[in-house]
Amino acid sequence: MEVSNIRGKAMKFGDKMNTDIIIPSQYLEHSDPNVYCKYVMAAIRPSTWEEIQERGDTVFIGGIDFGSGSSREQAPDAIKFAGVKCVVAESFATIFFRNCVNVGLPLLEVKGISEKVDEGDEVVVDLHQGVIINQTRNITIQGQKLEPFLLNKMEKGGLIPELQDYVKQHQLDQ
Amino acid sequence: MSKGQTISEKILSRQSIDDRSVYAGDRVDVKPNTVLTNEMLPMVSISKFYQTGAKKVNQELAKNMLIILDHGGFGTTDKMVNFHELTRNFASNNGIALDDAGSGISHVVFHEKGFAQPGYLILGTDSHTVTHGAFNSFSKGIGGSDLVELMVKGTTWLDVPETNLVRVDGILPQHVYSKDVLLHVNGEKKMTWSTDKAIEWQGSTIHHLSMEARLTMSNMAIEQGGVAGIMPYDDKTKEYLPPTNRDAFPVEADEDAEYTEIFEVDATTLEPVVAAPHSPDNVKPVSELGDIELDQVFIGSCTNARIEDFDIMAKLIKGRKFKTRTIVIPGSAKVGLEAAKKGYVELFMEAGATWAYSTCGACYGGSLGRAGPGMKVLSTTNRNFIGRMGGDKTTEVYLGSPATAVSSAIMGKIVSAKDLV
Ligand code: SF4
Repeated sequence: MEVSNIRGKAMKFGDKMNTDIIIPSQYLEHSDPNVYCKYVMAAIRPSTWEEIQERGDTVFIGGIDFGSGSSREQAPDAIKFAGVKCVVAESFATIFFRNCVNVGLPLLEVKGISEKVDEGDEVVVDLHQGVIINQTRNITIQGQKLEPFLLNKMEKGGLIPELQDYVKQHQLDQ
Repeated sequence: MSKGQTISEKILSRQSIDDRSVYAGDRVDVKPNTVLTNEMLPMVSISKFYQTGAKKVNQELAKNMLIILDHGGFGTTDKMVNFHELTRNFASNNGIALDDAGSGISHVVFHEKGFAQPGYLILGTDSHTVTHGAFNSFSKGIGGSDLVELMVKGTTWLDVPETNLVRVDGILPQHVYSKDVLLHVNGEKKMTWSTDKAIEWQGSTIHHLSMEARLTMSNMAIEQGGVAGIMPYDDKTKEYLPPTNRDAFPVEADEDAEYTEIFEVDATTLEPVVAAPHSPDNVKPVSELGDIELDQVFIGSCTNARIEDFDIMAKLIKGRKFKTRTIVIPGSAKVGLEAAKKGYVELFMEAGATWAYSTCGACYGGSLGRAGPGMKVLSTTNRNFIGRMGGDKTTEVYLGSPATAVSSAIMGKIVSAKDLV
């Protein structure tokens, strides 16, 4: 999975985008992420999915405590399947952060990001360096680098590919 | 000499697969004592489990896992009926215990069945798995893929958290309950206070509180960002737990354990509060709210729907009627049965409440009692995010104690039990 040259247009959200906003409970019954991703951010910006389809590669920019609330893994999956390439936020909630690594949704914590990126700006994210470049404003902002342990999982595409290897090695598929 | 340890550090050391002493900042491979799951299993984990190529759930894990079907109600939609059937088959093929739809909410049923014990490392695919910290355990929410890892390997990794300590001392004034204490701390410290950290509770007030009152507080550790919310062990812990053949390992923090922050609360100064829309940390005293007329009151959820909550409500009703449409959902079928035996079902229904079977129900806008645009709701649950209970930005959900909820239902507007006339 590409983690050092992630490109997209910024789509901005405020503080405390909790999981009930990211994917409201009434859509969870569509267990297929290709279906429920259409309702991503439905509680606050119902047109999100359509906007992403129109603008193409998209990077979410969030405020503090992005992904707080429920442990629902459908939240990062909804963002990923809607076509979002990366989530950059001031800070993340604990379970959401780990779920992103598990499903292979690149993320980067950057203090002060809300003031340095506007809606629609062209950005490039490099997880190896832990930086986001705002090409529209021509500035580079340093974020909190992911540890190698987590970055490695992310590059492999998340937890499931890793477990596939484990299952083969231990012959649990017999 | 080795450094002092917090409760989290001790439990994670005990459960580390290579038996080492771990401290905040360490990353450790662990084997949980017990595992909780719900509809996350059929909605996310079963298909991902088969994607790994694995055929069978790790047998040791299967023995220590409990599935509780709580979020999806009972026969609500065709999709949910299929999920539930898928779960039953998966459980029986892998020898996993299952509590079927209608048995209750996972964070009530799990400890009723003896799966939560002092000193345990408990992992569950629900953020309110923190509830079981009330039993002096390290109990944490995980995602659906984390559950897949556990089902394949029997182990997973965890970051050993730093710990914030909350010390609560003094006797609570009349009509002030553990929900008010918790909400007070939320209001003061806010939702990101304990992100990536565990919370430990200490102090004389905690020991005065019943187990059920403590469960209400641990339940909302996640609304302070906490990965766990751990209560001390005492005689009340021991007496409340059902008889089981599981071992218990009560833990105390060392005197020289390191805390990131210590927050002191003087219980004697507290008053009834609510969390106002749209965040559990937007906390206000009921006395300063003004007149907020209600469209609906909901009493239920893993936060506040145990028998003691109903005892408190029963004492306040005294033959009065509810002015507001009210729905009451017991935390488990067992709680429901006990409430029926105590005459509470009759009492609540005579007051005008709708009494429903046990499920998460209105708490997350699931199967019963969703709110709509423009509605004002008072709820005993743990979250009042936009859309959480249904509705939208114009839906106003206030969170309070069962005493505040029942008093408000009687008066038709938000009041505390102090204002009940
Ligand atoms: S009652 Fe509410 S908070 Fe508790 S498990 Fe169910 S949906 Fe989650």
